[in-house]
Amino acid sequence: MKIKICFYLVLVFISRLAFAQPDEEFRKLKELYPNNEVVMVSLVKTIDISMKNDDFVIKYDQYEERIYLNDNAKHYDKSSIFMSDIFDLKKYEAYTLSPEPKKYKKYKVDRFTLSDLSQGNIFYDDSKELNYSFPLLTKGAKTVEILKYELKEPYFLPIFSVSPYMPYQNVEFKITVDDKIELEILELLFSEQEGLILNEEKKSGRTTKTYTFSRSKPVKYERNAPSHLYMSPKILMRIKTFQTKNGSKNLLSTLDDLHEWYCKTISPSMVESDEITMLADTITHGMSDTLEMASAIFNWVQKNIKYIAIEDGERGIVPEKAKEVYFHRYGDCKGMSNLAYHLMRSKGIDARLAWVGTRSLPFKYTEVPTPNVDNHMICALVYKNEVILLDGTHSFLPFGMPSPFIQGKEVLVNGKDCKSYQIEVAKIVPANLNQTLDSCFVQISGRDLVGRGKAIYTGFSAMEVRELLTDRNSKDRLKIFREVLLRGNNKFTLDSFQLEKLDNINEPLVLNYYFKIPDYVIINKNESYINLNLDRTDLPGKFPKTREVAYEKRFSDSESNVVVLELLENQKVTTLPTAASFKKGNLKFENSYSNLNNSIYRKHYFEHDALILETKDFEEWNQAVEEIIKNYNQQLVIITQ
Amino acid sequence: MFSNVKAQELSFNPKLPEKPEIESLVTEEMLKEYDDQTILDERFVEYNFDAKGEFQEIMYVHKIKYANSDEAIEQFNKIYIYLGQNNELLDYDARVILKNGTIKNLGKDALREGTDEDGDKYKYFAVSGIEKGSFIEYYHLIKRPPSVTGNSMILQDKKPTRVSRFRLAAPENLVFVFKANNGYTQPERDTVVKDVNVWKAETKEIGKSESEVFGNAGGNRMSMVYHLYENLATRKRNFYNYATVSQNVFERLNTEPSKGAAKKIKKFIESSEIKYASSKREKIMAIEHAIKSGFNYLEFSDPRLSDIEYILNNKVLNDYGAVYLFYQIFKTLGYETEIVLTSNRYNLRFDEKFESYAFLDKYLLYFPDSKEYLMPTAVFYRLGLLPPAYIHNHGLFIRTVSAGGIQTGAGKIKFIEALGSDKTSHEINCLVKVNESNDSLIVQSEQIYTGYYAQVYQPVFDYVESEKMKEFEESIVESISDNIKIKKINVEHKGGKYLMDKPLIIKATFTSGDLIETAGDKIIVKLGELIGPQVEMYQEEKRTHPVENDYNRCYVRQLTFEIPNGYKCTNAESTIINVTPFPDKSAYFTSEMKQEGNKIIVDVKEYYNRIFFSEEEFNNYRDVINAAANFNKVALILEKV
Repeated sequence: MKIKICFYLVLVFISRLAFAQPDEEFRKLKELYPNNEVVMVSLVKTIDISMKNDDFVIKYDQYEERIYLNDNAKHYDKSSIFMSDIFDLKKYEAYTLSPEPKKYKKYKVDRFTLSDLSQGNIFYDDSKELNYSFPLLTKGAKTVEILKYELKEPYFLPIFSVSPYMPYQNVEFKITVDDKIELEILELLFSEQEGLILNEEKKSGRTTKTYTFSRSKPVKYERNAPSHLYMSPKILMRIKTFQTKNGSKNLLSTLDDLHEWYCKTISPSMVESDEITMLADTITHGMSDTLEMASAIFNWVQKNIKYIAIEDGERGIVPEKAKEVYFHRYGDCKGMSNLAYHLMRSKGIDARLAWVGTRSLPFKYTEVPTPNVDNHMICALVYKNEVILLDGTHSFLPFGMPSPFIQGKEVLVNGKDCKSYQIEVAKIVPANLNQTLDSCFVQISGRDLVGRGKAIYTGFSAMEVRELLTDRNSKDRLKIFREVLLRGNNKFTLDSFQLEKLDNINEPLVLNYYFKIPDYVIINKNESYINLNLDRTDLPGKFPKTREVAYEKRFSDSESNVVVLELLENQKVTTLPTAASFKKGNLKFENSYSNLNNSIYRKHYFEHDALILETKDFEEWNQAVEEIIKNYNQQLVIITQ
Repeated sequence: MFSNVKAQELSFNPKLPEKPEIESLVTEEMLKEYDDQTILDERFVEYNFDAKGEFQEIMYVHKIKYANSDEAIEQFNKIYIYLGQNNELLDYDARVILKNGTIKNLGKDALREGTDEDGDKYKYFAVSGIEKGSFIEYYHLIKRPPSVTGNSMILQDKKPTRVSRFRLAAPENLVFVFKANNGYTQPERDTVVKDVNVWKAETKEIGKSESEVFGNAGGNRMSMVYHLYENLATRKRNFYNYATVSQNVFERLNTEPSKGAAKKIKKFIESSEIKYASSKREKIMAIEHAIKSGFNYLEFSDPRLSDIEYILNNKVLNDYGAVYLFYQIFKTLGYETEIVLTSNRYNLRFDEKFESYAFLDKYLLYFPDSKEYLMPTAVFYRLGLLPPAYIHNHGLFIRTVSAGGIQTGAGKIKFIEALGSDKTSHEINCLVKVNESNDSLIVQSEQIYTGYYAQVYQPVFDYVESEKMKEFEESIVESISDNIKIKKINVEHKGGKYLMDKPLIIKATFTSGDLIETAGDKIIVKLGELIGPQVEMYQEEKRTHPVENDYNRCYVRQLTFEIPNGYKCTNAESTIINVTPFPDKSAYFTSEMKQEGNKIIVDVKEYYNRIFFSEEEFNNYRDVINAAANFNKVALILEKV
């Protein structure tokens, strides 16, 4: 992913506009960006890293200026500023530049309100937000936000990036660092940037690197798009070593250093207690097999500890003590992992803490050993030289499966007692393990179709259905399953259903159901027409040519469905629909019909074995969708004698 | 008014009793009924004097809740106490009572504080250690600025409540009046308590308030409205009547704007788009559009935001500022308007028989000559169209009267009628052909939207980015059917300024392979799907609310199908569906069919002419709704000649 930067010497059309009159500036920008409503006219991110008495002093400033090109401007008035213990906000200012004939008039934001980041159930997060509104946002107005931070943790340097969703000009990333600090700067995804200039200057024992660039064509926002970090140009920084009075020291020179620091951060949480031992004894009472005990403990944590989401990014890094999590019955990913870890440890099980970045972060420990790689913690179980990943934040995740959002990601698994570590890759669960197996038997009754069915859900598919059912009463569940099953058309009536193994999350979920679809059968004299594709795969549809970004899925899955139409003696089939079977890329489709002892069997299989559909695959995908629809649109013809 | 009464203590003991009052309220059997229920809900209001002799209002809330599911436990993790900006928390306590009877006092540490986005502080109990089958009991005592002019209290929520108690206490010279709504017990004077006036009401077995399609769950909740009626000490009564408030509101809105503001209003009216509007109606619409689409509505109560000069200079205002601005502009133009105050019928219906300021929640303006309303604060609505919450409800209409040469306001309660069904229509006209290869339909469509249906789209066009415009237009056509290929599209009257003036017209030509199926050598044309997916009520459930529509409406469709050469249609009459269960045609569905040459022409009419349908009428109403959903499934069979 690392790219080489070419050195252009192109005239960027920077500041010629900076002193322009508002109407002239507006006109020029409107001409350049007729289809965009906001343009980032300037974004300057500056970091200054120095040493004072062997301590780091890190200053991080940001200047952001935007212009609004149409009447939607007023909808951009709300904004907020992030701050936390590590990102100590020292100064902030925001204002609107309102266009007047000759100049811009400045209107300062005079009201900032502090709020906790308390969406959901976050209790003890130290992150806070300053919320405010820009006044007087009209067409042609500009907004400016100026922030100054002091960073309290040299391990945690910000990622410099810029949103790909609006055009930008005059972006400047500036990094100044003492020469006694060895800083690695990694530039990613700069290839699409225009007018890129890199400047390096050395002066009185300090080096300053400056990147300036712009981009006139933004990425269009689409649903199910991968995180913006896969599209935006960005700089990752890491302090490798630094000089002190006592010689050179490592900070994040290698992954070893990151691991060592992580070990320091978790050490206060490594507290054993009798309560935890007693709890572990209770949970595993009567068990002796390691996996059985581990599974029981993991399930107990999933079921009894409420997960409290913590925002991505710069968050607290110390897990809560196991005893506290147990007492409160809630925790974030770190607290839950720490509790599972201590419970297992007290039973002599070789559990470990492990760090991982979710799929929204496109970084690897082996490439950039910094805390920016991860945003999540899980528990890992080492059993017979195999590492089993356990993510307690998903209440219905089967034992042994990674959570969907870490599939394919590097996991930093702590060694025993922090003496070593290993990198594992969370496996990508193949489509055939996340399956919906459905078979139903139907009969014609007048114009109605009446039937019974059995659906079996496995892997993530089972997890997803269990998630839907959490704490729903039977009336709600009927509604949910009516939506989930919805056979034929919306006249589908679910008469009753019954679940098996709902609470045993390590086993497939089984659903038995009885239904009817009134007026589904089309009657034409002595002929009846029925479309037996009662359960068409819910496809994301065709992708328009205009879509420029990939399509991301939570997990790969597959469906295998059988519909059996049991005919009466006086009913005979005259036409069976044609079968189809093909494989296009990662998509597999089969649909076939057969007549066996006057029962019609329709067998259907669909699989899409990929987490991401790249833009280059869209055309093939669209063709497949078209073929599938064509195949679905065939009815069975039955003659009644 | 109150100074001749002495300071006093609370007339009840707010502390939690040593032994929780559970057994007397609920049996084991009752607990089994719901995993999540409120056992006791006490709301006491007390007016008295503090130590300094200041009149004050104390609000006491005491609840016992039962949690027997993960979801319930999750909800009770955090119990909010709403304080707003002026309220003060005087006392509180909370405890968890476990299944085995153990009482866990949460102590003062359980209280935490947060700040929301608007800077309002809130407090909450962080309740930990709840297990399934626990009771959570808490109370809090809040001092708030006394309000005696008209209050409302909602006494039914989404959880069932076993016992609800309402109590109001006031110094002995003050007499309050009450109106209990939707089945709550009317309070009665408690004559046992001396030296203080006490009114009490207890209601048992309050069911949960559940939302239903076409129902008004919010407005049907049990509630209490009350205000101070009489001061025995001064022998004055009926202070808070509509005559007084009419004068006050009138005077406030007629406050003469400053000279500068008056000038600005004149300048605003002189601006081109308003000046050249020819009729009065057009002028009003131009003014409304200029303000609603160009000004920024903010939610603060900053006095500048209701200062006309500031508003017109800066294009920012708040809700009251909007009302004042509109009113003053119309006054300057000499347009007669009545001020209307009403309530949100989805929250608290205006009770025309009980005079209370609690119903005077939102401002509307009424033009008596054209009988049209305008809501200054509803930015997505325009003259003639009110948000559904403010129609089919009573309101206080304040008109200008002259008495002795002085102008003042005179109030009268009138009903705010809903618009007729012909004012909100969705019309679809389609000419449908089969393509040469008989596997796709070619559809020339025209859709015409008026009233509330146009309201969904027309104002939104003002905010759609130009590069997303085509996608937005196509998405409207795609609402008829997914998987269509749009060949041509033309949209007329895009933008909020056309709302209630010109209909939104969308003409599109598209093809669809989804709407055509084969059955042997027959072709099945899913003609009914061209009216788009319909609301359906097939799955039968127990109905809890009568029907209360958002607005009256109608759907008119003409589908013309051209039978391809060499084919005949054998079931054209299946398109005829007539459901007219109401003799007065309050709601009906009809579809008529005629054949002209090779054309089948189907005319569909679906009308809802009434807002309210009683529980007895519900089945008939559902039949009309489902008739449209049935038509949606109509399919034509084409056979070779």
